[in-house]
Amino acid sequence: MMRRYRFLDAVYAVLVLLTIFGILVHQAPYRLEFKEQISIFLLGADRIGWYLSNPAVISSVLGDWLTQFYISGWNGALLSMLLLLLITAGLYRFYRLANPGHYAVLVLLVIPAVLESYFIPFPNYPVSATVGLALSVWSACALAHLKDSRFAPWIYGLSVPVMFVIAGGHALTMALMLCYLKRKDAAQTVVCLVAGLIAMALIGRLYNLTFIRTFIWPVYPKHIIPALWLLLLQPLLTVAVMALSTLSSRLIRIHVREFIFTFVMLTDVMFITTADKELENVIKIGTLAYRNDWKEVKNLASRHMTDRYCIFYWHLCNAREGRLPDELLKGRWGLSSRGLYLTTGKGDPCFSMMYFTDALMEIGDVSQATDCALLAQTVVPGHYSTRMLRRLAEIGVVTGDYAVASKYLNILARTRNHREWADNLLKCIETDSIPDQYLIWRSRTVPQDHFFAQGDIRSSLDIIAQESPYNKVAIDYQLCSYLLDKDIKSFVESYERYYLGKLDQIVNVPDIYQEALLTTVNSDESLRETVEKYHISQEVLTKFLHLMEVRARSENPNVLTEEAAGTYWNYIMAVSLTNRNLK
Amino acid sequence: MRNRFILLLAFATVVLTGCSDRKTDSFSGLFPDYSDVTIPFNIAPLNFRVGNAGGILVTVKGESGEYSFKGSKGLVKFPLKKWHGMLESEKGNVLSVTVKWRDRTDHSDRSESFSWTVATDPIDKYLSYRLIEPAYEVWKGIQIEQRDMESFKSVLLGDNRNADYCCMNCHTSNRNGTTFMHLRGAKGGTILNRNGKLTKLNTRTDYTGNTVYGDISADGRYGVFTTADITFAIHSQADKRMEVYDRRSDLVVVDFDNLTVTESPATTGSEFQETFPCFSADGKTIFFCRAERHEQPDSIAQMHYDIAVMPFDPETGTMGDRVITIVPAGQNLSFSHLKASPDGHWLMVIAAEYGTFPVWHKESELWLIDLKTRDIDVLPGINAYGADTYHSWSANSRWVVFASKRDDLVYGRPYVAYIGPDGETGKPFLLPQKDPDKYNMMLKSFNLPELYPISEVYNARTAAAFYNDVETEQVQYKP
Repeated sequence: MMRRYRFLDAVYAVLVLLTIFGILVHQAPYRLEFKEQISIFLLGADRIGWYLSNPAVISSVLGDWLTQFYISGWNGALLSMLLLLLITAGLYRFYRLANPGHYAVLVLLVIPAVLESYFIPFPNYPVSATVGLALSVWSACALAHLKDSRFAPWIYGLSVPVMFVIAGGHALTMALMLCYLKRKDAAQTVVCLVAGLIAMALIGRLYNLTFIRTFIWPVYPKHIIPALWLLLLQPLLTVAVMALSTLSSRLIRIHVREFIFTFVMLTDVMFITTADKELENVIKIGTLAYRNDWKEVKNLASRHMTDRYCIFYWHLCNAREGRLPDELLKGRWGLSSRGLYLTTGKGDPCFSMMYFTDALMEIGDVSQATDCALLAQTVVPGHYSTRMLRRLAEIGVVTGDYAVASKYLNILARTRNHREWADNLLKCIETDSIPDQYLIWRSRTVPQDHFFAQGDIRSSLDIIAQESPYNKVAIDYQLCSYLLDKDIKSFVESYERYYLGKLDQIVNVPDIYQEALLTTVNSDESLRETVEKYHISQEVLTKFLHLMEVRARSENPNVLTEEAAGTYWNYIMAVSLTNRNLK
Repeated sequence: MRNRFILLLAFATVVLTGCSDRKTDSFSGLFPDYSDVTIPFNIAPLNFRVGNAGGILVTVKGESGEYSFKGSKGLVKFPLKKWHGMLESEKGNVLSVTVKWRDRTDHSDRSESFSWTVATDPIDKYLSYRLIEPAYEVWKGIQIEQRDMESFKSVLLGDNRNADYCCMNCHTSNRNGTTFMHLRGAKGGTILNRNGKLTKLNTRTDYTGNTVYGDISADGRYGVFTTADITFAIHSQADKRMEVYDRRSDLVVVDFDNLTVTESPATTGSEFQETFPCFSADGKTIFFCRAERHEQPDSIAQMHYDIAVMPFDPETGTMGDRVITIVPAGQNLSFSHLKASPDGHWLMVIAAEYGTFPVWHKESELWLIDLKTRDIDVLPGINAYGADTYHSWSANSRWVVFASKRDDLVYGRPYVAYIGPDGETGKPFLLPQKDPDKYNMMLKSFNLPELYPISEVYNARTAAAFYNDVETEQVQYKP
């Protein structure tokens, strides 16, 4: 009978882990992949110094090394699942050591792994935190082999601060597990372990960590994890499941296992499926752009037009195709011109800064792209982002600052995933054979120097448009932002300054610009002048006249013709056209 | 005298605007470039790397004998004790250094030779600097570190992770046991260390703003500061970065004995902007930068700061009411960051094309003004393309440390240069590290380096405790 229970338990535990794997692959592949983008694994002098200057030395090194392999959702999920398996196996082993002869209910011991699987998708929950938990659990196993002697409690106490240096805040998990191990003659052990925890807190101070940060290290607060107390739940849960396991092993015969299994599975599914799906999309679209898979970016953006990042990328995709004005109104425009840009203030997430560089490079605003990339580098948890290092290297190549580019490329050349890319670009710099994309971006940069406030994208676009009169992407961004904000006056001024007689000589004027220009008409005479001055096409003019005719006849001043659907006139309905004195 | 200045400045301006890459390339595979440098006898080992090298043999020949050192994988690390023993016995001598190595690509044996001149003047034992990402207005991990110049030991003086991620800046010493460091943020203040006694001051009053850049008198009683409203703008030109500027700026003197702050009618008002004050060695003069105010950032290129002086009475703590311009700025010439040498002989300044924040000006250079003759040396042997800024004198006035972006134009690194009694200079060398590769791998700038001979009495934990728990002492305005 016991063998059958054991077999069933193992099956249940494996099923739980496989479910976690499946859910991670399905629900959080890009969040896992993103971990690689916002970290780096280097063993250079400075990085070793950094590792040694912080606690969790071993788990940080191992975690960062493993993060290199999170280059896809599958890889990330598989590695995460293996770490969770390691944790569960460690807990099982420890339970057997702590309760010789007792039956271990595996399906209970897998619960800490379930909780960990809730944390794992958070982009700023480092792999090193999970590694730290695994190290702590197995260290507890190793210490459980220690023979009872008068020194044993002291060794337990000493091991806590040592473990803190090795694996970080999860030393607390180990301490609680050791308390559980010695629960029957706990007094001396507890005293020693409490002393160990106090020593750990004091060592945390030596590392310039606050009390809370000591116990959650290497997780960075103030980022994405919603509540810090959740992180402290893990050590408590680890011990609680053992106590429950002891209890439930007595209840085996009443098949409590099935109930537990169902509960665990439901919790598991609930944890991950209720996780932030919007965040997954936000990271997915940015990752697709990072991979230069612009077709997929556009597809995804078109399916999620309520999300600011998707709208941002929708416009960017169109701008890259030279169709920003043509497609401007096809998405939802509720965010007005804010959908065209991202904000990069102090409280904004790192995505804003990372993603905005994509648009800024296309526009030719390399100065702000540099600003954003450096800011993103600053706000990611470990201060190193391979993605932003690549961007900074690209910026150096675009601006011709090859010394700067080489600095970043030489760092990337020491990484596993970016070595080839960096070496290729270094060769390009050496041979002065710069890839076309960078030359295009370079051609859009501003030759003359002007100033503008950080984040003042309008002033920046004005400067770019003045200095690079054929930078259609920048000019379209400027004009479209006025259109979305219904600022016709500024639109007309900018159109006359940057488009009329310049760009309109080499490209067809988009219908939306013509439609916007016609909204300034308030008499027959001005209509004639407008049509002549701006070369309004017959098609747009016919539509406009028809609309005006219908509106003149209608009792409803806001009536729109069928042809007007999807036009700028439709969009601008809030600014009424009713006062136009047109026949 | 004025004509002489104009001629000098015309020459200097040509040098400044035509500044090209003057970096010597005597031994291209050597990093850092420690060839033919003048070094203090108490400096930490000049560990270096040779590109593409395998095993390395370094032979140093001096008057006291010959020393051999081995390196591997292109890296030479000199044993600390042997290194100091060698320099101690070679004080004042020129060492001949021969580096032999096996090339890892073609397995050929190669060698290069250069020299080290060991100065008899020691450098101050400690150097503090701020480690900060070269981002613009958001900071996350600011640290202020104190480095032992004789070894590779360092200690954190400030770490903003424990102080609400506040900005920390301007750790400044008078080299006689008095230092200050500003902590911004809600619970911030200026940590003042007067011969080991720490206080946290709020130097802002109803009449004067927050203190920023400053200097401490030799006796430690007074601090002279800029009070400025600092902001920044971004350049549109791709290869330029940010432009930090003062919307307004004035000078104040803080009396640390009586906890009072005073200003002078000569440096208040909106017609001129004053900044970067420093005391003369005797404490009776305040040097500072002053420019006629223009609308910024639009006319920022018109902000050219002169070097001016005003008297200071150390008995009463009052600034004079008369300002004299001693070195006028010019078209494409603006001065900043004045630092008088402790021996009273020199005033070292930064010269840039315009503005008050040269750290992002690639043309920024260090200039040396002889305060006796008022001659200006544009220091061709020290400057290089890339911003050379934020210098600091050693207590014996023989060494300066400055932050230079000559290596990659973005990240500042601390360079050390020798200034002889007559103003002769030695080739600057990069602050040695245990593994010099640290400079290539790190993404932080060494900012505001400051030399001093007496170790700071606090560390990052004390600073954090001061930020979080210690009450601020309010400085009172004294009309």
